[in-house]
Amino acid sequence: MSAAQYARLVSRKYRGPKLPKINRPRRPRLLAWAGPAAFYPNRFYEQDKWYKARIDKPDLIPQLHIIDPTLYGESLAEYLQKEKVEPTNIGFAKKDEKRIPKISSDTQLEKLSRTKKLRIDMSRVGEADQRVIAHFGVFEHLFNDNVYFDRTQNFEVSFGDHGVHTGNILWAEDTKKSPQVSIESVGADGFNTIVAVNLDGNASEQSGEILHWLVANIPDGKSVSEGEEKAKWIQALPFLGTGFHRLTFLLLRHSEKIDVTDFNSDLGSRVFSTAQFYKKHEEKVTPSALNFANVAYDVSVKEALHAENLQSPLYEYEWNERMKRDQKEFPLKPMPFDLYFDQFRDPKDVQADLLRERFKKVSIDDVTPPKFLDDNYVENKKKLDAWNHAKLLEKNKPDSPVYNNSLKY
Amino acid sequence: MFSLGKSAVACSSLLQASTAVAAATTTATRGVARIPHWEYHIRFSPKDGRKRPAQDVLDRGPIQAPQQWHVDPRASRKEQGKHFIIISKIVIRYAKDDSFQKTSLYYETCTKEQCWMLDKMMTKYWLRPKYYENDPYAPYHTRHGLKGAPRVDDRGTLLRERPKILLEDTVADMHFRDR
Repeated sequence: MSAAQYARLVSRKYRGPKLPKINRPRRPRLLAWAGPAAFYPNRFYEQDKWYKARIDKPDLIPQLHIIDPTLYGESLAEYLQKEKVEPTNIGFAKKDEKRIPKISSDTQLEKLSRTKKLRIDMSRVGEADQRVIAHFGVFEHLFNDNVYFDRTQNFEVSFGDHGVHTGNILWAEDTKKSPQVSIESVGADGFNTIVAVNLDGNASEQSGEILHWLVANIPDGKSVSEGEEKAKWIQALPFLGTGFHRLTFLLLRHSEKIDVTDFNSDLGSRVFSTAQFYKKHEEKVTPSALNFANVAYDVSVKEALHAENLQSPLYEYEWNERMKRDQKEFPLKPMPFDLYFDQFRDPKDVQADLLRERFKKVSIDDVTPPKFLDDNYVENKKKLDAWNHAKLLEKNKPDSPVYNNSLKY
Repeated sequence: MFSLGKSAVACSSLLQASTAVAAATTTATRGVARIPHWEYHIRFSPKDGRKRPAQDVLDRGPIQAPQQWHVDPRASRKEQGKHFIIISKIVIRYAKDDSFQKTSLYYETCTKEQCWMLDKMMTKYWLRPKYYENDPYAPYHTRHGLKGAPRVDDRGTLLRERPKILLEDTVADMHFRDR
């Protein structure tokens, strides 16, 4: 009851000499806005309701890489001692084995190698390539596990000046035009078939590789143009962020002609399983040579996909979110305020700020870092707040994200 | 009237506790020992009775995110060029290691009690959010991802961000990263 209400109710005659102390209504605190429901026994019912009393949920710590010893019964020595399955040769038998001359322990050679001046004659490397092919897992992904074949026919592929030499690195732009191929003539009647696939380029859910080129039934000793081009050449398409793609050229040898269906040039119809193709024509066909290059992303990939009305996919590694302490509204221990608050800012906001910073510097990709971290260091040191100046210095470092733009491509 | 005497001890790191040595070397630094009597309480203008903000706090820069103060640990803005901080650190600052040079310049957050005190020492004008062009403090005016503390006060006004359409929290969580 307020004083005014008291005065209204109690006439002057009956009032005491002093106004009695009257309890004023309590100032509404938490209950006023949270409502009594915040303290009902069922407050745990909907924890996430903002007006309910809060309960700290347990922190979910991301699963780390754990090596569970119970899954690995045998020791390394035992594992290595286990008998491996002998791989099967699905190709021709080799005519004559060229021995690689063993490199003598030449100190001069070693020095050249160390200073990166050693040049290797690729034509002399020969059979050492088999190990390289196995290392890149080309047989495994073309056919199946435990399968291989020897190169028994000379098969050279090149894009103008850029040759394909068992795993060398090419840019996607180098592969724009169809390759020049020379196939060794064996002398007997027969046919060659070239299958060019990208082992890593299939982004669809269908299993298989991407077929880049298929020329079937090239008569022995003739040029590629004499064969039936069943799938026209499309350039290698290693997507951004997916690393090197193995562009593989497989040469198949057969004495009779084989029937191959035509392939459209759009990417969706180019999903192709080499293993199934080989299985289908196994009776007639024998692989005789193979070559591959590692192709890296280039702007030409984007252009080629855009020309086909497709979008260029961008693959990024999904990093685990940075571990951080729960944010306190008022941290008990004094924290550097900018660093503390920056932890909890939306990373997209931070990126947008960086982009704005770049746009101030006119162009997107060719921003050169300044010669000095801060040209007027002395003035700024006085003028700016210490944290702001530290931020400025950090931003002007040549390796800061302002000068290294991942959007360049 | 609000007495500053007891609480100033809690706030010592802000108000730059200086010892008697300070008096010998500098006259400008004001510490717990050297708070003049007219600064021991919240002051009001004798002319119109309005509240006067505490000058010592303003000297540290009226820097704050809503409800969260963070202050320059150094004595005042004017002394930034001179190289001293707390009196015990003055003499040998040049001899300190890199991490000290770095961390001693941090603008630090205050505890809840200190924030409350600083709020009392300010006037309404200084507590109002201010928006400037190219303000380096602008990103720090809102606090993100603060789940524990209430977002609105009893009148439904947003406590730690600019006014905007208020969504129910579960809805906001569905569509936005933070609230």
